[in-house]
Amino acid sequence: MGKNEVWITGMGIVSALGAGCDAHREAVQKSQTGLASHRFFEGKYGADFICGMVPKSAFPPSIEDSAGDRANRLAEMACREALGQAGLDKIDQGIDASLIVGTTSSNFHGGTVYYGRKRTNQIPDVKLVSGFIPAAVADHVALHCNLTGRRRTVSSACASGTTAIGHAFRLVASGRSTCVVAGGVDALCPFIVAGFNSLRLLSKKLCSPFDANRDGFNPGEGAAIVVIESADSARARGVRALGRISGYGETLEAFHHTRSNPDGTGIASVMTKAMAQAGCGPETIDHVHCHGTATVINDLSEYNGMKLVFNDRLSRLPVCSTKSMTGHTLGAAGAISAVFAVLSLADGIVPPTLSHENLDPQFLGLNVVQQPETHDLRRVMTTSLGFGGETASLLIEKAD
Amino acid sequence: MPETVGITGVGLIMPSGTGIDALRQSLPQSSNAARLVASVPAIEGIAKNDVRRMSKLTRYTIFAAHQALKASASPSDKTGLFVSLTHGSTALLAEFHDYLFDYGPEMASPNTFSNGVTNAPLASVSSFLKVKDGGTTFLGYEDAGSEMLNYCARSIYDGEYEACCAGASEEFSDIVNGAYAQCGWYSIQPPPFLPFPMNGGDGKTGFGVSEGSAFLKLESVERIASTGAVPLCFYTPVDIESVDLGVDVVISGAGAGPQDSYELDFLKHFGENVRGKMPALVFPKPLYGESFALGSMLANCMAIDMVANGILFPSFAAHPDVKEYFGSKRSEPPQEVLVVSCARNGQVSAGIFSREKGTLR
Repeated sequence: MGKNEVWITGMGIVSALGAGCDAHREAVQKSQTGLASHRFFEGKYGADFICGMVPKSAFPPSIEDSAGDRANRLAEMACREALGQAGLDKIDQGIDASLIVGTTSSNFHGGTVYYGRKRTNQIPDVKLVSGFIPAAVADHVALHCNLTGRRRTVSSACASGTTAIGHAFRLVASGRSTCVVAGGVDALCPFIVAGFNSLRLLSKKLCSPFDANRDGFNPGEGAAIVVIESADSARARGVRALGRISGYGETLEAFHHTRSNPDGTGIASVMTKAMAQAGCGPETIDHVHCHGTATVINDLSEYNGMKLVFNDRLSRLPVCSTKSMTGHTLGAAGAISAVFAVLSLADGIVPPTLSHENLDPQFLGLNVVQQPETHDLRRVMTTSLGFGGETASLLIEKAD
Repeated sequence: MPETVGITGVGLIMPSGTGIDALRQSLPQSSNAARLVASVPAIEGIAKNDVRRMSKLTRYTIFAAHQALKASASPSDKTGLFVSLTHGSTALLAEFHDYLFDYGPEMASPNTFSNGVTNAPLASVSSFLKVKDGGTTFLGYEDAGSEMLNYCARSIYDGEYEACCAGASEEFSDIVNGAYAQCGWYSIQPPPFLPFPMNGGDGKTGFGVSEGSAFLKLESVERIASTGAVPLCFYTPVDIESVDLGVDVVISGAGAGPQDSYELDFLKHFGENVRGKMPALVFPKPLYGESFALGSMLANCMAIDMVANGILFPSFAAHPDVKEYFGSKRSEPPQEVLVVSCARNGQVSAGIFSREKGTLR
């Protein structure tokens, strides 16, 4: 490992805050949230949930808003922006890059519609079958964005986006690939909303990460895609780095088939692995963009993990969670955090943790940023915790 | 330098039984109908109540992973865990949606949801069998098991893990079977069970759908040397663009399904570039049915049975376009077996199983 320096040369993002890096940069500066109340389920079972739904206005005319394969559309939008930033969008003969997509439920909405029609003896549209095949998103993106390399789809629950970028980092760092397009996507669907509601993990108010009164998350949807390239390849193309990935860590906590280990050893382990790979210590980390879902256990795990890694330094380390801006976008969340992290490094701004008001007394000394704050940032870590203890972390550095 | 790893354990559950012997037990029962696992044996150390809550997919996965880890008899530290799937647990998804549609979101089952999510099989293996050094679920098509295996071998070679427990699973469900039937795929066809529709078929056929799980324990050659473990055989991923190796047997993932045109292209390319002896060509899917991501892992297990145990599986008549390149019969146990798996989207994954590490070119 570590043969090649790994650059991010393009980024694309779409979430409840809108489409594009500029929309997300502006939302950070203005402390905006994209969360709102939306009605789910039809008829007598209709219920309102606060969630982060991508607004119709975010879809460009060329990409139709469609419920059945919404994840395809979201991922395509993010990918087009990323390829444009990387200067790869004008290549007619096909872009020689692999694609790695992280997702949990992808187009399950299509599967729900398919099954709903089937059980009422209607003949469903056969295209909805792709709702049961999560790998179909990567095929759609590759086809519509002209990517000719290998396609891979990974699922590490809510760490999926981080895992996808981590795999891409490994491919480029080891010299196996020169350019990989990677990220995460998930679309809101009844399965996800009803499922997390059944687990009593959804908040009925705006979620408040690390707050004493936190009571769960708001489901969201979105996509974030980054172009990951060897420095040599980017230099040869005359493309500048937006950020550098220098470390990736992943683990399986082996604690419980759904819950994270509250002692934080999983999150500490992945942060330590990422720093070891980058050859740096915790004293060099300037900011942590947390997973911060605002569930009771996950936030506790994350705090305990950071405490193990940073000790007394934790009180001087600005941390944030953008879940109260975008909602929890599941498979996209890690990739969205990575894009926010690169924007933070470029602008020197740590995003606000909206609706965080009273720090949970258990989280003694945790420096949760509530308003956008200016810092001189060189190294930012992101963290992701997934269902079943799938945990991952990226270390991203400022481009010179 | 070849990215070779050792295979130190195999775990398998399929309709014909458990363990690598089940591959051979399938032979006399070969039929073209859907094949289902009748029951999953108890898994050591896991309470019945825990097993009852799991989806079929997770039960198969945890059984096969446990068997592979146990068979390897080597430590499970520094071991990555990888599971390859095509559809996830669609039977549990259907059950969840039945409650959702009939009684509303407040009656949706948390247990069905948490056991029905895509990564539930991997999370269960990790938490119950204590495999914890990283890993993920690969989602793909017919080649996904081999794609994952190649990722694992290369990650071990690069030093990311010292070993990997890697497998693929598939669960038969009416929802998936019905959906494919609507596409015109994997419908039950009358015999003969030949890959590549000979009658100018449009690819809308395919063998009956099957289910089960297959896992391998892969270890670095350095770790094998230091622990004294005895590998069953060795595995090396290959780049399909440069496959010109002389091997004894080629196992093809052709299954009379949508992947067959790519399988045929690969076999032609391989046949035109083959060196030396003519390999035999074997198709496992007429024996085991179509099981998507699992199908490529079953092909890999078949290759292990050939090189490690000297088993000779029957060859089937090849498509006329490639028949000239392949010998049909072998009398000696193969030393090297190439497994090729093509997906319906044209992606190809391949690797070579060899009896001796040193025999690889």
